[in-house]
This record gives sequence, C-alpha cells and structure tokens, in this order.
Amino acid sequence: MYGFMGKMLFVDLSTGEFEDKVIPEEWYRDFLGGPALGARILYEYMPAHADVFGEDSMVGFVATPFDGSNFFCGGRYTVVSKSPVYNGWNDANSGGFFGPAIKKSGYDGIFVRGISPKPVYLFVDDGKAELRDATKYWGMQATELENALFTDLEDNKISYAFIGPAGENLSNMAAVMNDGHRAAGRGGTGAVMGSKKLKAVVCRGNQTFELADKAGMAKLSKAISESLKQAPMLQGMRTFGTTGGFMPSLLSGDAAVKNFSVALCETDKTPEDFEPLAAPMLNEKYKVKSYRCSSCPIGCGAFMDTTEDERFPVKNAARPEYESVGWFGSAIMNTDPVVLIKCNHLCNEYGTDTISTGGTLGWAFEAFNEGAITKEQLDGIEPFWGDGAAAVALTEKIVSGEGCGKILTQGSQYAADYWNAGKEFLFVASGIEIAQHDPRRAPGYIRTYQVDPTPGRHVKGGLAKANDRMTWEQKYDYRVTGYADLVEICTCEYINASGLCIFSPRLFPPGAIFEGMKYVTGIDFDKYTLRLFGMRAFIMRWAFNLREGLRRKDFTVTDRMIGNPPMRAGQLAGISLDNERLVENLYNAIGFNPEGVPCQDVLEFVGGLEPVIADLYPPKE
Amino acid sequence: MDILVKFYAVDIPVSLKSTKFDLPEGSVVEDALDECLKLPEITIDEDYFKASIVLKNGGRTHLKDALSDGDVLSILRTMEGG
Repeated sequence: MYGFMGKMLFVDLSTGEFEDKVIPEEWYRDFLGGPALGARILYEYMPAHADVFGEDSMVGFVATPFDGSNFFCGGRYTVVSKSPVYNGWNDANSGGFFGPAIKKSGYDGIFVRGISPKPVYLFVDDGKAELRDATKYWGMQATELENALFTDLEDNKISYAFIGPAGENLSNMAAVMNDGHRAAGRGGTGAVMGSKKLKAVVCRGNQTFELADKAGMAKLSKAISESLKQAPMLQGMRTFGTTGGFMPSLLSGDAAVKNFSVALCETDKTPEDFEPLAAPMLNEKYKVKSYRCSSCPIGCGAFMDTTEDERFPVKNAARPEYESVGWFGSAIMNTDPVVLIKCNHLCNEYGTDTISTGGTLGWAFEAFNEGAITKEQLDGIEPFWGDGAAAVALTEKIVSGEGCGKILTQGSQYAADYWNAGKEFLFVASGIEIAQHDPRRAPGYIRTYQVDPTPGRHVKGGLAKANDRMTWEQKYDYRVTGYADLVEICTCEYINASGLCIFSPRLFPPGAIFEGMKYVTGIDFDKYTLRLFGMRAFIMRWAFNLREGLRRKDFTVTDRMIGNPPMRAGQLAGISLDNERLVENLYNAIGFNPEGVPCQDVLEFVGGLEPVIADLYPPKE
Repeated sequence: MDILVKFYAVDIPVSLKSTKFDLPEGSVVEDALDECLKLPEITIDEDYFKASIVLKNGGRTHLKDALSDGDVLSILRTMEGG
C-alpha cells in the first residue's frame, strides 16, 4: 500500500522473540497511523485488564503515513500504552527524527511486550532487529546516553527513543524521550518502558516506500512553500516557537498564576516582571541556535546556554516550550529565566514530562505556602512563592525520585493522597496534571481534559479550538456545543494520526493537509470521510478505556478547574463552567449514551470497529 | 483621541510591536480593531481577528466598550501546544 512499509515489528522481551507482522490493509485505511492505529493494534493484541507493569502490557512506537514522505511538518510519531497514572488508554506524540527513522528501519510501528530479565535496548537496523545489553546505559541521563550510543554504534545519524532515570524508577511522569530532548511526555509511558527494562529503541536504515502520486506531492510542496512566505504565523513561530505564546497567555488568564489559584493582579507582580521569561528576552540572552524536526520548514525549537550563570549553568539546553514557561514561571511566581531553563533541562535529562513535573511543583508550592505540607515533608526545602533555588531543588527531587521526590515523582494527586493534604489545590484530570491552558479561559478545554480518551491533554481535539474564534459571550453559552466539539475532534484525530505538527493547519493553505494524504497514500479525504475517520479514531482510543471497565464517571476534573469557587479578580473573575453539560452535548453529537458507551448504530455506521461491537454488543444466544 | 494598541500574538509579524491610532471621539473598541485590520501586517480574517481577547488598560473589555483618550488596548492571541 502506498505510504506504508506494510509490516509491524513485534518483540517479546520475556522470550527474546521477534515477529514481522502484516496487519490487514483496511487497518491502515481506517486508522492511518499514530494513536489511532496504535489503539487498534493494542485492542487486538493486548489483553484487557493487563497489569500496566506486567508481562502482557504492551508499549508501541507508531509511525504515520507522512513520516518519511518529506511532507512538510509531517514527521511525528506516537507512543501508545496503558497509562500508569489513570490505568486507561495513553498516547503521546513527539517530533524530532524518530518517526521517519522507524520507517527507514523497515517498519510502520514497533510493539513490545514482556519483561526483560536485564536492561536491554532494541536495535532495528535496516530491517533486522536485535536486543542488546543495556546494563551500562541503565541510569544514564539523556546527554550521557546520546554520547554513549553515538560512540558505541560509531554512528551519530541513528535516531532513538529512550527513557531516562525517571522511566527506570517507574515515575508516573516518565516520558518517552527521543533524539536528545524531544519528548512524548504525557501519561507515563516512560514508566511502562522502564518496567520492561527497555532503555531504548534505536532505529537506522535506508528502507523506502512508494508515494501514490510523486508529481502531485512535488506540486503541493511547492504551493505550500509559496504560501508559507505569506503566512503571518511563520516568522513568529520561527523566531520564538511556542514560547512566544507566554505573554498573551499570561495577560489573558490562560497561563497559571500561583498554581491557577489567583489572577496576576492579585499578586505583587506585574506582567513586566515576567518578561525575562518571554521568548524575546530568552532569545537575546541565551539562544545559541535553532532546532527543527524532520521535514519542518519552520524550526520552532532552539538551544540555549546559561553557562555564564554561576548558580545553574547549563549547556545545550532546549528552549522551554510555552507549557514549561508557564509551569516553571508564573505558576510558581518565578521570574528568573535561568531557573526556568534549569528546571526544564532537568526534566529533559531525567526524562520527565515538563507538564506533570511543573504541575506537581506548582501544587507543592501552593500546598507549602498554604500550610498544608511542611518543609520537613519536603526534605527541608521551603518553596516560598518565587523562590528559584527552591524550585530547582524540588524539581531535582521530583525528577530523580530521591527523598521526598519518591512521593512527588508519582504526581500531585498521589502526593496529595499520600500526605492527605492540599487536595483543594489540585489541578488535575483523572489524576494527571494539566497544561498551561486554563479551561476557565477557553471552556472547551474542560470537556477535552475530562473525557478525551487520554485525559488532561491540550493537544487533543475539541471545542477549545473553536473557542478561539468566539466572542467572550459565545464561549460561555453551553447550548448546542456538541457538533462544533465533534468537528474539532475529527480534525485533530486526523492531524495526530497522519503525523502532522499541530500547527500545520494554521500555516498551510486550506485543504493542503488532506491533499498531502492523497499524494502519499492515495486515500482521499472529504468532509464526510474526515468525520467518519475522526469518530472512528476517537472511539477506538476510547474503546480501550471501555474494555478496562472505565466509564464517564471515572473521568474527573477538580473543582478549581471548573471555577468552583470562581476566581475573585482578573480576566476570569466570576467564571464557573458547566463541564457536565459540555460532555452531554458531545455525547449527543457522537452517539454515546450518558455513561459514555457508543450506541451500536454509531459503531456500525462509522465502520472498522467490529471488535468493539463484539465486546459491547455480543450476539445474543 | 490617541489609542495605543499593543499586539501579543504569534500570528502577527513580530515587526509590528505597537501602533498608535488617532480615532474620533465616541469610538469603541471595535473601531480600533477595524483600524488594525487596515494595517498590511495583519492578514487575519476579520471575524477571527475580532475574536481576539482584548484588554483595555489591562482589564477585560468588549467590542462595543467606549474608548477614551490615552487608552491602551492589548490584543492577545493565545496558542496551544509545546
């Protein structure tokens, strides 16, 4: 089939066996790649109720049709597994170069089950797979591991996904990292790798696949190039990356102030106090060079250097993305850019998700300042608001899992339960920390945070995208939101499954993201088939949760997230959200019953969901 | 009357830092946004641009709110990701 390698690699770490598996062609057509195809495969091959850290638990590294096609911004891959945080479906994607490398090594995806008796890494070299001893790499942080792999394999062109010490320690916030400091961060899949003693997956090769229409692809690439020259967002993204979103988000109430507890105007700080954390000043003082992912014409990443700072000198640090600036900045009232860069760097080196790490740090700051936890519980650290040294010290504890970090590395919900303290300060969905997008500012987020198959995510589809096009009054009108919610879900499911960067629709000419799919795979998307695809992908991911016995009631958000009580001042003063109404509206639009179970008609209408029908609606005797 | 507009957005060219407009008495916030849309640097659809979060002198404001001489409008266009 055009656009794919046509086979998956299955590896059993318990037995050391490998299998090249050819999946049905319709699975590619129905689910494309990434999270959607990953969900279909795990639904087929991973038994229900498998212990997340047990032998039957699987972790997958799933490429996409655009990986390796050189389609602009189409180089992302997805990790899939059960999440140790909420015991349901998890997917998280990342850029860099690993997605195309999976395909160059000969496969559309790599799926691993079992547990190795000793640390290993998987080396997939031009169609040949091998498990190698990783004892010497166990315990290594990102930079040390990269240097060791490049040296030992005598090749600095390899691409690899890996875990840092956080994954080895089974931290709930352990990311699957790749290519140095790129991260498929959310949901704790790094811990699943750690439980399998799988330190890394290294890919290399020169395998290729055929495009459906090479000439069409070349023409489209030219058109996109021309269009990009006029795109107003291009220069901003190229210069500042997502970091450029920090100041507008801080001013609008999107970014957290004191762990989402107050408005900036209620504190002793002004917006100007936070400008040293904003992209222009970070670039001016610390930027060394830009960074771009595979086949990206933008290059929104950057490397920074703070080696002139005596307190926290760091070389080759990634410029913190927007989410990290919020969590390690205004959420804890830190205005010191070197502290921000250091905290972000610690996450990357130890391999933790910056959102969950920052969210847990923000919770700890508030719990301490409000007297819910003490410095004795924090190994003597006193995280008063704005204390940068305390932020770095606590982040080190969290990512390393040492001392109080043993508790905090499992996340804010775990810590609040463990100490039975500070539960009113939690800003979590089903126990996982939230990105720097306050749902009280864009209420569509609350539905996505609550009942996306992967709770707590800002990069999943939903009404929040449409909120950006609404007036203030329209945003908080909860009538008839289901259809708009579903439309945004479907587009986002397509973006994630095709391997595109989430910013591509804002940069490309209208329709280009679908035209590209036609030229790569021959699959033609129109509004109708996009709707079916999006529903199928969403339901497939959600079906994993249903099979685990999870229902709507098991997906929760905290009172603070819905404005109960509402904020007292600032842009979000007086706002409370009707999250349950938003969920009901979506369920009506997508054909779910109130418990979150899709009706049989919808499953049959969407198609490609036969095993889900068999599980939910078994034939009557 | 003089109105200063500041832009905080990734989809507006970085060269456009802030702009002063001379608007007639009785103008409202939307009038200032209409003036912004005449700038060659702003190529965003009118509806989408007018859905931006706009602060007047640091506080929340609405399209039909009246402007006074010396007001500062901040146009905020947030983004997800990262």
